[in-house]
Amino acid sequence: MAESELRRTHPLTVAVRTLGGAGQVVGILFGVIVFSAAGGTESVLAAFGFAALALLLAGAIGASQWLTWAYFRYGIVGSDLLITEGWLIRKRRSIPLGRIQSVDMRAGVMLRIFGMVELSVQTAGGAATEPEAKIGAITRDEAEALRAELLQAGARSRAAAAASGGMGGTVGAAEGAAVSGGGVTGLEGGTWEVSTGEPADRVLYEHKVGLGRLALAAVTSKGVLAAMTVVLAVVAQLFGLAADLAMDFGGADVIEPAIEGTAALGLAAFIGLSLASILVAAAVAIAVAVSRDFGFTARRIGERVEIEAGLLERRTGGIPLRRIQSISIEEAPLRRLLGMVSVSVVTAGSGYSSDQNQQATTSTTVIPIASREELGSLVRGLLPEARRFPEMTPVPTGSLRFYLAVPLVLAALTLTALTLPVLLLAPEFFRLAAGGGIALLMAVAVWRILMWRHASYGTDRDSLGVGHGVLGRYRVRLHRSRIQSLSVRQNPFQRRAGVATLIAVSVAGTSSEDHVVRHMSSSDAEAIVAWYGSRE
Amino acid sequence: MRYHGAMTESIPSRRLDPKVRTAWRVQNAVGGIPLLLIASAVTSGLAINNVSMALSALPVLAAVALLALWLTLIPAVRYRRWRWDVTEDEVRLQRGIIIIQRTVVPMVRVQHVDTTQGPILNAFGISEVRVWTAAGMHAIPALADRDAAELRDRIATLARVTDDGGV
Repeated sequence: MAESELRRTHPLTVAVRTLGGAGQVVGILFGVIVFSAAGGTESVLAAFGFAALALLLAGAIGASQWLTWAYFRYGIVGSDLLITEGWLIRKRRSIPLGRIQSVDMRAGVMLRIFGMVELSVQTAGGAATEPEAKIGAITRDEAEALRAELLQAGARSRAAAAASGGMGGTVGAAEGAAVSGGGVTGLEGGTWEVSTGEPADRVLYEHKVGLGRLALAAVTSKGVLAAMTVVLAVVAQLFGLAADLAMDFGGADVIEPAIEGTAALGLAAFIGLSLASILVAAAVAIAVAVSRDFGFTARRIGERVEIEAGLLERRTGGIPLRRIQSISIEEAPLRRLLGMVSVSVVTAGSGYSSDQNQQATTSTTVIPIASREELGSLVRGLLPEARRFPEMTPVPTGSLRFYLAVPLVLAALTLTALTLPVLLLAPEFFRLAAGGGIALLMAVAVWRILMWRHASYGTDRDSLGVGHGVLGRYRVRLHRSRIQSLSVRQNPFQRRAGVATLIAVSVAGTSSEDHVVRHMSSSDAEAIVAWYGSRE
Repeated sequence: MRYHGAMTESIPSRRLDPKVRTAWRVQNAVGGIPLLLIASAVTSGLAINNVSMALSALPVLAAVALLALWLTLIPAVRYRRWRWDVTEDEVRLQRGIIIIQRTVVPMVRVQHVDTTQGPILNAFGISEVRVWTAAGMHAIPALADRDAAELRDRIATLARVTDDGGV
């Protein structure tokens, strides 16, 4: 395609973006006006003023969006993806096809109604340059075609660079793959030919997660508890607000009977009400989580794992194998009780993040929830390169005292510092404080003992496994090529007891991630260092 | 479990430039001034508020003791413990005063190398060599300027060569 033939995004983009932006503004204005003009004839004037203001703002937003759309063009020119944009400040981005890691698609309800999506091109490269290029909105067919073209051309360009033996700038260093001849060493140390336009889009395996499973995942997830707390807080605020408003409008005559009424019903009513709110909060949180991951489908296509999910906003994202830094098998406490696991993957660079946060570490869930028995076949299907997990050895019995020593001492010191004033100032509470203090110490001890029990490590021919966890159990698998450096740390006490701490550093998102095994056998640590340093 | 699991693997052979001890002492002296100032402020504050002489002198005494350590013993021990080695396959570092840490960075993981020096190191003709991987940086804190430049170039060559050579 020549530069003069660059395409535009769909004109409906203007409408959709304007509605989005204007909608938010209108909403905020509405809220402000309602709360400030809580009554009286001023509210009528306020309403008119508000309408005028809203129209003006909407118009301004619409005009700005139209200009942005008019000046946005994109297309594949030569071996680059070219994007020119901007009406005030002209910007021209040229992305070498070889640098494109993945092409993701996103579509909210509005866009889906019109059959359009937003494309997001993730590129290899540090945090210095913008890692993401967005093209939207375009029709779904156009998006799929462009995506296929970008991915294939990207793979071709990388194969060409590899074959010519030059590292150039197209092979990202964070991939950690050694390049030789025309092949690329992958996760397992085997070689497979980089596809050159061959069935790069062939779906090799697909796994869809049913609604029941998603609900289970939502119920047992950490996020739900947090969400519940937030919802409860909001509900409490609303109750308070309602009471205030009732006071303002009705005065004491409304409140008094209401209070008397509820007091009459008594404690039972109060508990019932609280339970009801908690259930509602939980239901809302679960509904949100399920809608976010609705129809979760994980596919293995060529050399990437594709995740498609979402009800209101449907997103499709790809994880190229080359970018995978580590694979985690997670058994969160509740899930572990039910015999369920989940699998997530950490990618380097600006990988696809399922919760839309461009955080430094990009961890993507590949299998939100599955039973332990299914895990084997699922991993074999989606990530056959990683189907073997090293056999894990727990840290030695002798290291328990290391896990307990420092935290208990610190806890004891803190407790003394807190209970001493109580002893001096309010001696009658001392027993209570001391009792609480001892309970706390015991809790810390139990916590650390659980941590010690779940600490484990293991290696097989080319990967390192690190296990940790307190109530849940988490195991991470790192291919040796993804370990950027390995350290062993030992203090004099550890030296005498024959233990040491192992630290494996990998790349996670745009920062580094430490995988630590504390107080493991020092001879095993030495063995792992030897394993890491050997050329095989 | 009673067995002497001291890290018995070969300790890297090369050391830092000996002048670094003095350089560190100068750095610590400069860094110690604010500490002394704060300690004296605390001391005078306590003394003004009629706290006993012995108690109020504690902060300053503690600061002086710390500085004494920092200026005499610590740099010497730190220098003695710092070891490094660069082979065709990897960069090995061993450092630490009380907690000893050994690090292995395979040459294939090295992305680039550079040398750097602050004003104090500059005055002593010492540079720091920094080796970068995708995940971060590892530094050999003090080599004579010329040695640092040589090492930097050597690592740069090794890193490139190993990458092209493949597995």
